[in-house]
Amino acid sequence: MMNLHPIPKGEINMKTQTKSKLKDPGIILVSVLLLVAAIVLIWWPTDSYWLGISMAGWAMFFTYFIWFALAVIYVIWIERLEKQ
Amino acid sequence: MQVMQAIILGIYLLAMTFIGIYFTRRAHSSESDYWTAGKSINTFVGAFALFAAIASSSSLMGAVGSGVALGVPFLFAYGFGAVAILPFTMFLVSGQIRRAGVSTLPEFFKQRFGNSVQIIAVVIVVVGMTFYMVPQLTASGLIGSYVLGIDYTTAVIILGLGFTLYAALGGMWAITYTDLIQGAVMLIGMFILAMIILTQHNGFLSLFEDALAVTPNFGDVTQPWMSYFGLFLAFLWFGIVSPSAVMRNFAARDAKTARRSAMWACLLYLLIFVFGLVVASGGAALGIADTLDNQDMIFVSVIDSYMPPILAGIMFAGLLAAIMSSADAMLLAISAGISRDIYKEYIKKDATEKSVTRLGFLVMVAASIIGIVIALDPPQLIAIMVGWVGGGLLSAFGFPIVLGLWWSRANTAGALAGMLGGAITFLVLVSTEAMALVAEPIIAAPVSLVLMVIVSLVTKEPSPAIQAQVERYHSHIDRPGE
Repeated sequence: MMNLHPIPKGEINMKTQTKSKLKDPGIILVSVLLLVAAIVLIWWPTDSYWLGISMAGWAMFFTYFIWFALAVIYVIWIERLEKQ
Repeated sequence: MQVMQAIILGIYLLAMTFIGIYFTRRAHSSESDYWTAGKSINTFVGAFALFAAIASSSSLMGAVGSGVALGVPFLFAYGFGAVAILPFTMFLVSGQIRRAGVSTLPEFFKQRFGNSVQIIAVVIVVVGMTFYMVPQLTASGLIGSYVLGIDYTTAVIILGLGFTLYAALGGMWAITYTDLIQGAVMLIGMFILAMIILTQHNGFLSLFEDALAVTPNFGDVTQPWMSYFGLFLAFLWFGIVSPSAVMRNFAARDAKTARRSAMWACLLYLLIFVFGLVVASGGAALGIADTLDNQDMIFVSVIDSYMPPILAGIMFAGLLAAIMSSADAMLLAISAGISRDIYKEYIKKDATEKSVTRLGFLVMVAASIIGIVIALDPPQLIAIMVGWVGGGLLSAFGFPIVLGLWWSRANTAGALAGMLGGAITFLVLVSTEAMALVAEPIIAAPVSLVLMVIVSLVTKEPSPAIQAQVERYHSHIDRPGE
């Protein structure tokens, strides 16, 4: 069954493509998103307050703007890739 | 009965029904038009449609209510996951699913993993979305009973059947175009309400001071860490695992429009949560949380306390709009699951487009009746029910979708193990109440991931054709300009 498809060539293609998948803007930006979320959840400063609201809350609030910025970066990035 | 609010609500619902009827002819002209609005929705309409479909009643009523009752960090945790829904979906799956050329989630599972996975996915979609109708109907019943002065049961039945009828008549055309109006009403309504609250309290600083003076724990993290984490996870994945939201992606004209729509919809969602902070603070400053029978009513009380009747009427229409658009998108997913993915696929392959569309209509009506019956005595608060749906779908579908798109070694046996293992673990955790509320996916989703990876690796790899297909999902990397 495997003879139908030349193995070495297929394997090389698969490896190259797997490598390029990791460089996909989506994967890079998901990593950034998860990193930011991890920082917020690990830091979790419940006992410091700003304007009477826990900093853990504010940390989550400020991620809204980061999430939108990541969306803008992705759209511009992909459109540039497509233009090339 | 609140006369002014009732009149505005009535006019609004009538207008939406007319729009639904107007688009009926267009919708029935072809099957493709019915399901995805002929793929001709532009960025502007698409952004509002995507925003309105994802911003369900829970985003407004549930989030604001929980922000007052459980402290504002809980509201922030909603947004923490929810504002990230669209970027996360766009980064991980939307382009790839679009290139797969399918228009429902179960169709993708069929293409990638075959019939068995598709059938199980359809069953989970239908059950999940039918249950998801319950919080939408609960919320509409609460608003309706308050505004119309009728009992909750009657309100649920009348409103439920009303918006089901227009959704079923118009398909995606009606839903998408009324979404444009609904998204705008909701956004402008929240903006005006936030401005009124800020003016009455002389700005942010004194608003927070007023809120904290009346509700001292308003700024505190009151729940265990795990609940915030679970809530974040359940919302973050919502765009990927919710069949209704995924379908929106296909309604856009091309990939570029789809991405830009998602980006702008993310901004709209961000704004809603910023306004939500002001509204929740206004609610906390009223000090009414303990006097209400149902915490989900806090938002309704805030509107009633701060807004003049005419604006309150428009605001209630906006709230109902959010509920309607979400419920409609769910009904469409249920209907597509039964009529296209099961009936046309396995039962009657030569079924005409007309008979498939007609069956879809009947399925919508049946699903909404089941939803109405459960909503007459809702099992939990809106926020919790929505959290369950998100967590359940994430546990079942999250990794089969993502690994299916990104890992060519993932195979049918692995997908089946991941999907069933995740869903069963989730159900066991919910029914045994083994974890903090809404924290179930913290365990169930990794179980699904591990099962899918291990079972895929110990069983035969997918055929070269399937592996080549996975590479095609990512063709923009190797073939720019696609």
